[in-house]
Amino acid sequence: MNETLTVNEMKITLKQQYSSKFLMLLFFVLCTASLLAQKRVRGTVSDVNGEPLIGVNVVVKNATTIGTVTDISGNYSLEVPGENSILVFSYIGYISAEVTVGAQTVINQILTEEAHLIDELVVVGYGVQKKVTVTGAVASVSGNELKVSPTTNLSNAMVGRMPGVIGYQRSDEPGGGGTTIHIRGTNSLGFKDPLIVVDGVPGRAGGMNRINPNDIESMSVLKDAAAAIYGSRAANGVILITTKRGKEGKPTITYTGNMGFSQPARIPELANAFEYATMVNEIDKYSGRDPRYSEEDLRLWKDGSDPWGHPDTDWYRETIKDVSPMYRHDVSITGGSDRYKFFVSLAANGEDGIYKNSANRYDQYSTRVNLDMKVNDYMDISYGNVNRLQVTNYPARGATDIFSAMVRSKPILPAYWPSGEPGPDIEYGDNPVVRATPATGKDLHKAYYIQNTLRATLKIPGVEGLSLIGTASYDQHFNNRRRFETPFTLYTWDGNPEHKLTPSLKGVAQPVLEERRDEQTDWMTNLVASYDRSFGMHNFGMTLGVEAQSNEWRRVRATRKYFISDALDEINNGSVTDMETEGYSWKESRINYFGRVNYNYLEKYLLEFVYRYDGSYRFPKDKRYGFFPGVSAAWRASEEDFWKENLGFINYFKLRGSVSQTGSDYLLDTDGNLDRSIQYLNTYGFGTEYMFGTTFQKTLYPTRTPNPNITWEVGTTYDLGFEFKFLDNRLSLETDLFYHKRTNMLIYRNASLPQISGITLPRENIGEMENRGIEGLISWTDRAGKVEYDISFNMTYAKDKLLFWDETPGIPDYQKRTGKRVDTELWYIADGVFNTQEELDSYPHWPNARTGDIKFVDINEDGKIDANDRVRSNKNHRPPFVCGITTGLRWNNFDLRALFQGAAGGITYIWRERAGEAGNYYKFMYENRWTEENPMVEHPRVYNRENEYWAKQGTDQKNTYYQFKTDYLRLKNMEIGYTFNFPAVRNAGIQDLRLYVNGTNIFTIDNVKVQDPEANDTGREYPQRRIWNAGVSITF
Amino acid sequence: MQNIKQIIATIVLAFTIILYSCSDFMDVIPSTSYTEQMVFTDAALTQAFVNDLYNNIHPGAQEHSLDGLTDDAYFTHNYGQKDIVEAASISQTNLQWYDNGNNPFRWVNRYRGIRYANIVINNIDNVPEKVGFNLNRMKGEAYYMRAHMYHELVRGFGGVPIVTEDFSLDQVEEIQKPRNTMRECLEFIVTDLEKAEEYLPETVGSGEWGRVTKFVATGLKARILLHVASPLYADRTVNILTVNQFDGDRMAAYRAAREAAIKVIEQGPFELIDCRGGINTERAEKFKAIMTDVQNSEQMFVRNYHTSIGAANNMGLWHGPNGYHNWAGTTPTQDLVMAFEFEDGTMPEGMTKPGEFQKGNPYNGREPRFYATVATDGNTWGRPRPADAATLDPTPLGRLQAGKYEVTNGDVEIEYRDGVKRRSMWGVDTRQGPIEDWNGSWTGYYEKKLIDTSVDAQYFRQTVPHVYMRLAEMYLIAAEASIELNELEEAAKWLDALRARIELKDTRSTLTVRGKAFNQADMREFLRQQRRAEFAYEQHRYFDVRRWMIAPEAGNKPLTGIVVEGILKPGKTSMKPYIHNEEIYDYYYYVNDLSSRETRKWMDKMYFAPIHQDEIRRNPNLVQNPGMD
Repeated sequence: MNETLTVNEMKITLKQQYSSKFLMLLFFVLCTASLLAQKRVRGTVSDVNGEPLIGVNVVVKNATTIGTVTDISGNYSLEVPGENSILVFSYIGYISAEVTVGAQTVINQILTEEAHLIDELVVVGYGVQKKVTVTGAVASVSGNELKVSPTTNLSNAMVGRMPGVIGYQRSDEPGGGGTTIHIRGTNSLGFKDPLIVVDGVPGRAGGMNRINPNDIESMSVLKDAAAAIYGSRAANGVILITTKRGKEGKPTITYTGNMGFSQPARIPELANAFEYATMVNEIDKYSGRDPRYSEEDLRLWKDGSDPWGHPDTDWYRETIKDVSPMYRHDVSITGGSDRYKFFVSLAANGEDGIYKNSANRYDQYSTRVNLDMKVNDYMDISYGNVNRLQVTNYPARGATDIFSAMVRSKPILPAYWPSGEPGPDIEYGDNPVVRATPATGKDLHKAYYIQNTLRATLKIPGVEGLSLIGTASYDQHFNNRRRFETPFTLYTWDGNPEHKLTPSLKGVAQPVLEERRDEQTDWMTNLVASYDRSFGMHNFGMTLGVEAQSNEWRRVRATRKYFISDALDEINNGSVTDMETEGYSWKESRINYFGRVNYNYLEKYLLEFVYRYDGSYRFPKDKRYGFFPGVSAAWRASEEDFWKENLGFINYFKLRGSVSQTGSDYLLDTDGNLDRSIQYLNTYGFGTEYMFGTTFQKTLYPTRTPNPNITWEVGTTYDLGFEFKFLDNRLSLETDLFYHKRTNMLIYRNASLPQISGITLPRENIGEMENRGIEGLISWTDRAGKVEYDISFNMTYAKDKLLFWDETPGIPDYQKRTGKRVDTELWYIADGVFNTQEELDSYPHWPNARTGDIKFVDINEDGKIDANDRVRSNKNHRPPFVCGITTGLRWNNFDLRALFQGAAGGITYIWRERAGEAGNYYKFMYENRWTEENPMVEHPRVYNRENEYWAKQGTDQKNTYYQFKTDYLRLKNMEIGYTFNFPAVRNAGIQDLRLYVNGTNIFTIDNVKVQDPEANDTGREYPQRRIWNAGVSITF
Repeated sequence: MQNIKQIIATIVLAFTIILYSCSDFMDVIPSTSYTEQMVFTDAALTQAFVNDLYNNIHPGAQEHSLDGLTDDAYFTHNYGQKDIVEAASISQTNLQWYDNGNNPFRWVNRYRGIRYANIVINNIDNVPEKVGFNLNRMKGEAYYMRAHMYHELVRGFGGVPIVTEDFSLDQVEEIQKPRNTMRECLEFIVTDLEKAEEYLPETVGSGEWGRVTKFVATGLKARILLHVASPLYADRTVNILTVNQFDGDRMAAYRAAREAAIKVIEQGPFELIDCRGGINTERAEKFKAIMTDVQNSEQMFVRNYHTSIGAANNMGLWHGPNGYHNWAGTTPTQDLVMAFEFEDGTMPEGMTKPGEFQKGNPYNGREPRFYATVATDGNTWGRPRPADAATLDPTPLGRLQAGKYEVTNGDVEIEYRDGVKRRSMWGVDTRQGPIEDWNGSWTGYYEKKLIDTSVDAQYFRQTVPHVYMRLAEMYLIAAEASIELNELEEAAKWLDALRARIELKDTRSTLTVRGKAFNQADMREFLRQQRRAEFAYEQHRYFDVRRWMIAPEAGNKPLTGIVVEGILKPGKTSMKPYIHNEEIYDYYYYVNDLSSRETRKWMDKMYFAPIHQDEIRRNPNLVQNPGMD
């Protein structure tokens, strides 16, 4: 299929232009000595404002060896073969112009900027459309923009760049740490992720995170009826990723190299030794004990004069290094003839974890080969192949535990003894300075992806406009894991004056090795017939297709323990005692039929209908298929005569609207992972094996009461869009109002069904919710003198609301989920603290409350504080408002691009688990704490672990004191580059040379302070990173 | 042209074949599960389902068991147990530990298990016979398990709804069942157990050890009959909810309980373990082995554990000393320590109130069960210390350091109860010790009874079983029922048998040395003390204090522990590492007030557990227990 080629052809890239420019220059130099000129033309090239354009290519069409470039005043002069010659003016970022020379000797040319290119194309499901004729809500971004973010994770680069695309990045661990992308907010109680389609294959293993950004031609996001062609899996939106393909011409080689450094963008500030000990003494006082640390102890911790007995340890600083390196190297080669074109890329990138002597590291190696062949006038064949290896090493203990240990570890204990040996653990051997290193073993993951796509496009001879496109993909994915956990040594000191330390082995008693092999085989075939034809002013298009897809996954795992040495991690070296094996698999299959019919009159009145008739293995035979249609229409009013006459200052206006139905068949388990169980079957699964005598026997249990009526979740989307362009297309504005209603939502009915039934519930199609909002994009492109600049602002506001939820009968209205946003929680409302006994006595309070405790509001005014006083918040950790500002400017050879990203309306819960006797506190808890000597109106006294009613975590015990607003604005990325285009560079055979530096997470403005505003699990997540990166891009 | 048409035809044909050849393409059956129809047509699969019922009864003491809710123990880590012993805040909206997976009568878990048992019972008669499988036994197991789960619910909540059907999703109204009365529940459980007795074999081979047998069913019948016959259910003053009142013949229930218990003793294959021989601590080891042996003649029904696979028994990690990197979960109270008699039959005195103290070891001369149950300062634990504690305690099998000790080269100066400051050190098993001090025991004692102290519990699980039921219980059921029936000679017979095996004096002479009479009231008190000493940490005390209605006394006792101080005898010196030594140290034992940890208070609403408010809301026919709304 030619869709991607067409895009490439339309978007003439930098490389081609530089390449032709370079050739031109070369030729010009060589040929001036032997002029064969018949006619000389000259002139000035300028932009629409009359500013001269420097370095514009001026060539003679079909004689590309004759040409020149404009000088510093925009002037050129050229010998042309004759009056029939056609001059082609081309310039980066501008639309090329052609002029027949004729009798003229002076040809002044004005070039228009490409940004306003009216024939821009966008990739839509199973096809490509002209942007002006698109009737649905489709956002797109080019691969070049995504490249600006030096991340190994594509989803992290997307956020803030497109309206309607909302991202939440919780953590940033090398090897993990992707951003959760939701299209237009939350559209379901269950599965919320959009469908990712890579080169025409829906739901490809590996998703988009690890795709090399340099391979990406474009990314489109389908948000309304445009998505309905993906029917059953499109209810959460669709992201289409198209990779680059070969370009006709001499092979060009581009190398891009990046070297970067990362550091945590923000880590919590913790109490130091003196502050910690002071607080622990306070808990002793509150529990009626003598303070455990003396004044002398406190003094020694404060003045640091006793590093052995009274160290003051900053566990973050001991564990995390200042900067961690990362790199990326890409080479791509592209070229071809009119019959064969190729694009080949090789890439390697890697990053080191932020720990000192880090056991965490990620490396990725990938190749991509995209070939296109023109077999004859009727048939094109294209083939794409990707090979990717992702190697991640994690410490044997996960990041959550390591970060948890950094927060918990007491500042009064040493990370290292003054003599250099690692100090004691908090428990379980968790001294993070050792846990984060290879000393404790390794957890090596190797993920392989091999993806093949073969596509044949056949123009049916004799029927103009009809073509058949067949696509087949065959992908394999292997995920191998080798986890070798070894004992390691930590040292304790019993206070002896010789400072003799006691070593002891920690972690595991003997090494344990786990090896795991997962393999996944996916195939997809589809056949699409498409017919596009214009009959006079009527343009008509039709696409019909059928698609089948199958995914199979299998795992085997083996574990052996009691290795006599940690020298070799080979499964056979372990003991047969207590060895374990495990293996299981799943399979998915889908068949569907889809199509699109569109019609337009003069590209002014546009109408489109798409549908998908979808089958899913998750449903019983008679409910297996669903029909998902979408209708959209658009009116380009600015094409009307009355508009041109009266509203000419608005260069472009399009009104579009759509209504569509999409589906979702995904199920999530309670951990949020995909659940592939078949809910209509009355199946029995294996449970924990039970030991009778000394042997285990299998157990089976009914996995659930079956639901014979299970069927699709249905999403109905309404969209109304406006597109404007003003002021000679310099200002453009695009906005969409949307409303999504999800019915038949697959949720559990556990809130209303009495538990005495003993039923393990299946998912039932009972939930209903809606999500409405507005999104917009406003952009301004202009130049001021020699500075070209653009700035664009995009935003999304999406507010979801549960319309039907299985409420427990009789619960108070303020606790109901219905009418509230999805995933909200119940909160006790904190109203300061009890400062005096009188205050305590005069207000309902928790039994055994004392002064310094948080006052909960007696919401139902029944004179007691209990679970009925909790109020459901209408906020959650997902902000309803997100925005992005992208800006770029170019001045001579300098260029700058920046991305700001912001969000508002989200909340998070920040609390320290196990603080006190078993862990450290945040510094803000020291600085803001109630004491008898210094009572506070708002902040409570020091607590120990979860012992106080107001210091508990669980979902049923949260209170608003620990609730923080997560509104933020951050400079997510900024890049400054310089392009070398001096003749000297070209003479060295380099067509293009650019140097640049960029940064990620440069600063963040927010009120959370304690941790990153996007983090959601207090003090236990790998933080987002600040990255500084320098790079070079060279094209030969 | 011809060529191209062929290509088109081929492609179209290929796709058609792909799509149509798989009309069953989407009939995916998960490869890791069986359909219900398969399960009930293959006896091997039915057996596997029946095996899972064993996973659905609660395996006794876990990290936070029932003991921390009684006067026997204090649970160090709270986890919602503090609120329960303090009672005030517990209600249908604040269930705390009652809504926790460690609660053996957790509503949602037990009813799920009951549903599974119902499915087996409703379908097993259609399962075809298969060589090597015993369908009758499976049926008996299902009846037993259903009865077992109801017995847990009834002991926790009182009368509960009896469900025997496997409801479908649309039977919402049928599911809204009211609570049945205690009598109905008792009759239902007894009927199930009698069916179980009918179908279950008398014994199973050692390869099937851990399966229920006929006499286990009889034993459970004895337990539940005794339970329901008890004073709580006859009471009408605090037990004011009709469904929680037993309106049957209590004496008949006592008789039936005794009959069942005696049947197990006399006809069953079980035998008491003979612990006689040697001094008290040696007999203690034999007594402890009744619980910790992987298999013995006294164990009636156990759950077995493996070192690394399947469900875990981490009793050592959960409850062992912090000086072994264990967590000191359920620690014995001073009150429990005082419940164990001396070898001569007398009860210890004087060390009950905070501030009371004794110079010199107050634990000498106790009966064997004491040493099997409680580990005190200076006791040998049973395995060497981990490396980081070995320099602090170099003894080969570890000796508990649960106190503070004067040492000549001590790092800290500590004030002792006598007001004198001495160079000292804190024991490695204290809350001031150098290892994970937040996991130290508050009470100064450690639980030992269910722990295999030879296991390095910070890394390894133990293979010690959880004993659901052992023969000694049948003796004490027979004795208790006899006392309540005022047949005291009969009662003494069963009590004496159990005391004789650990070489304790007979009932009559013991009562005499205690200054008690051989009458019903004194015998009742004696039995209750015996039951406490025999079954500490075996998950009986929680139910006993309730059914006997002694909870207002037991539940209002202030929490106390022990503080141990080792002071060098005049002229003696001692250097680190410290080792317990009565030659050079004078040891002082102070009763310690721990009411700042838990302000224990009994409220009568605590007789019956709260049902979750949402369950009451879901089922309008369900009534809440008194005081819990």
